[in-house]
Amino acid sequence: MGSLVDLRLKSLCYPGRGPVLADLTLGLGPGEVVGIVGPTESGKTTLAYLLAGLIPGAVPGMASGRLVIAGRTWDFKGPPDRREWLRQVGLALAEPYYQLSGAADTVAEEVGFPLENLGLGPDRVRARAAGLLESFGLGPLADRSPFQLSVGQQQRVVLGATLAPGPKVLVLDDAFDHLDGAGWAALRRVLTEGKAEGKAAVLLSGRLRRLEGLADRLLWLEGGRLRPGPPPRPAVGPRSGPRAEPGPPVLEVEELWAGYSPGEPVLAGVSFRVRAGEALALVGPNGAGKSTLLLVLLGLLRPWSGRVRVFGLDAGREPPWRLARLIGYLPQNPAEGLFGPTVRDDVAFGPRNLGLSAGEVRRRAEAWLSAVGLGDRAGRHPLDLSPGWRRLAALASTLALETPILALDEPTVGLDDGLYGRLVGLLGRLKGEGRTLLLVSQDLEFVGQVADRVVFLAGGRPVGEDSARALLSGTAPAEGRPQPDSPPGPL
Amino acid sequence: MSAFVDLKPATWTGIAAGFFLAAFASDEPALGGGLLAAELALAAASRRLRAFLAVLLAVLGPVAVSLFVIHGLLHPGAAGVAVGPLWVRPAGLAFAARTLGRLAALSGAVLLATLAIPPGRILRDLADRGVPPALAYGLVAAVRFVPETRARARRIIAAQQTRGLPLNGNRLRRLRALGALVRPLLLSALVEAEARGVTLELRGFWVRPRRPPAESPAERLIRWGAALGGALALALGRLVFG
Amino acid sequence: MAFLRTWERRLTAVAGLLPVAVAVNIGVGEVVARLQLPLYLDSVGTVLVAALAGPWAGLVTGVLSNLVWGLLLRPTAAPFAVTAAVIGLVSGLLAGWGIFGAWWKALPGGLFTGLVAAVVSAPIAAYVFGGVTGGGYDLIVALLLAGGQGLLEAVLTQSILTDLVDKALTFLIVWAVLHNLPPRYFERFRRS
Repeated sequence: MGSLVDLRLKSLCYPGRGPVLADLTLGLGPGEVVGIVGPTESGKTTLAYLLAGLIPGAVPGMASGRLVIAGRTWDFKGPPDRREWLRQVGLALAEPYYQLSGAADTVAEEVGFPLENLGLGPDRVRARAAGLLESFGLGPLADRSPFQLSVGQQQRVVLGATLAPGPKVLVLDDAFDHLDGAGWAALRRVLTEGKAEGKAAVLLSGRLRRLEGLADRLLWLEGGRLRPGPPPRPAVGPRSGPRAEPGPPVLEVEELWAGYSPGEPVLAGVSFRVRAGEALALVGPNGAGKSTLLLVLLGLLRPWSGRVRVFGLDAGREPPWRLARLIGYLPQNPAEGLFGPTVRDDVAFGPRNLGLSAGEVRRRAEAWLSAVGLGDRAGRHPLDLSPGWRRLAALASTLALETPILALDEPTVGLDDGLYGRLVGLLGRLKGEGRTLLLVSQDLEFVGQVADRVVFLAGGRPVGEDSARALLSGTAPAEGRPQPDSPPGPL
Repeated sequence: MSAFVDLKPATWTGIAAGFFLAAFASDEPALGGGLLAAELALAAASRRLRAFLAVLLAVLGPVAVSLFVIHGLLHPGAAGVAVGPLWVRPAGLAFAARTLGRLAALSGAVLLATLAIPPGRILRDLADRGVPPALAYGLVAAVRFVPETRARARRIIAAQQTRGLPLNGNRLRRLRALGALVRPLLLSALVEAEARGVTLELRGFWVRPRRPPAESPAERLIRWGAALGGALALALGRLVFG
Repeated sequence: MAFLRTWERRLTAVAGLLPVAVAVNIGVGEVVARLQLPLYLDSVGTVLVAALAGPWAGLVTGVLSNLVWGLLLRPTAAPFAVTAAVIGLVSGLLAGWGIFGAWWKALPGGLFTGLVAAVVSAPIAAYVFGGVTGGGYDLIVALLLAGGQGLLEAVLTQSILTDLVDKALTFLIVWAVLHNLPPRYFERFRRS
């Protein structure tokens, strides 16, 4: 078995529920990086928590078996000594905002926070923090508040704080979605250096693609058990082309200028058109204005100048709830709007607002719940779903509005391979029905599979337009291409 | 200058507490005015005078207007005097002056502590002194979470509108929209709280060593002296002046 | 010392919740402003904490909220820390008696809490603030004074009118949030 990490777990359950993980063994030697592919609800996060010494303890649960890390044994009878365990295992999770402690004023303090708690003197804390800031490219941000940073920067701060105590084993649970270019570079560096120092890493993700290129060995978590080898490759369906020749324009944007603070335009003279039945993708680096453009189309942000027409209606004058009959919107954190008490209630929320009859509301809720695959979870509270399924619940809620246009902002974030396939299939079907799709995404694989046309946005204006095929083959305009945010691999 | 700027948070709290208590010592507006003057001096010494005045005026301005207008005209049980077309009650004006004086001293005390204490120091100072770390953390972290929570509220407002929720209309319709806007905010608070609990554990917050900070006897004297002095002034004031 | 330690242990589990609930107390102002409703709803986080973690946690949340308003440069909230504490305490006690089990229990629970809040805050408002806030509610007080009421009476009447509705709505919202909530939230935050 592994000499650095040796986990033998008989079973793990949460209070009042059946076992989530059972008969699980995991072994790592020094210098090993193991990738574990785990679909949503497979117990991925539970395993990560277990390795980090959180269950039982901060997270209520019962486990039997034992875990040995670097010679230290933990028998799961109670929480491990946190002071010790911090130096053995470091854990970083998916959402950077939740992993900012709130106890620190500056980035430097946040990174040094675990060291303070371990009792290191202020000088040593400062020195170590400075080193970590350097390696994560956070030097210039050292005195800023962590809450004022971009998501990518925050994720780097979180990694810095996780590595501060110098753990021998690094566990990353889906901590890849928000990494920016600098973050990926830093992560790769950390893994390489760690291997050289005889450390180990466990990388967990719902998407196989993220782990290829990072992990030496791939495992697969299914039904609470670990299986060797990568899981079967997710089937990549055929590219869905447009149903027919695109119809008349349904979205018209002319010379649009808009922004949040006067004098600081985010959109600087954008013009384009979307025809009925088309699937257009907006692609570009962070801050290019893609999400802002959606907000204007939805009537949530008034343009400074220019014309924005949705089915002929002036989006600058219509209230958003009226435009909601024409454009269905899936925002970046779609689960924020869910409030239950059941998933079914959330999916029915939109149709109810539209003033439809009770029978029609019911029909739509059932139809879109099953279209998305939530038929058997419809009676649950939204917080009772895994984050991936919660996103699909929000999608079902949007689809239930049955609008001719759909605007989706980064819909693939947080979805595992299975749910991703569901999304692509569903969008393909909607295209077949003649819906118009407007997609904002950094996920080039997704864009390639679903979009017909791609508009590149950079610095608030389009810098090129091309077919999705050109994007994939690399002949699309170089300026405005988003930074690659995923490891190089087959698209 | 340097001695003042560098007082520990607990010392400032003691000073503020002293002012706060002393403000209740008597109803004379002169007391309120005097305390306020002292607070202004301390604010100046910590180089926060401009912020102090700006906030105090912004916060108390409308209150002062209401006080003088409402009590000047309508103070209960006070005799009135005709002044032009209005019927003014001098006793009401006096009441407004007294109240404003005391209120200014109170608010000034809180404001002084707020402005003088660098926020980052609060957590360390309190937690290291033996205040349960959860409480000290709760205080400083809350301030930091406010901007994102506000932003999340705005995102929820936007998102629900795109799901067809109208926000205009009569009061009843707007009231109905309340649930769809506040409930998601509370639920996301629960999600966030669960995740942050994990984060605090992962950063080793609960095993943090508690070392009472070294401080000069002068600071300890100021802290306790101010607080006790305020309490004493309050007691004396009430006994002597009623 | 032993008392402090058990108290501390409870707070450990709830520590992640306190600051977030305080932030919600403050952030909900965005919603109230957007809907232009004459409400505060600034105890909604406090009541949620009280319902999940008990009266002492509710009390602490209330006090922390007022302190944070102070840190956010609203020093005039400070004297009302007592009211906030009482709201947290009362909500927590009522929650212990099952008040959040049904909406028709939560509603009167909210009305009662509103009444208590009004009774506690009226003397503070009358004495420390002369009954005024600098905002729209002052008109109500003015009307009542003009009608011949004493200051404390007027303030109490105004407080009762606003606090009853405010707290009733707050309790209903919290009931709705707790309704069907997965049990792990009750377990995670319940005092040990």
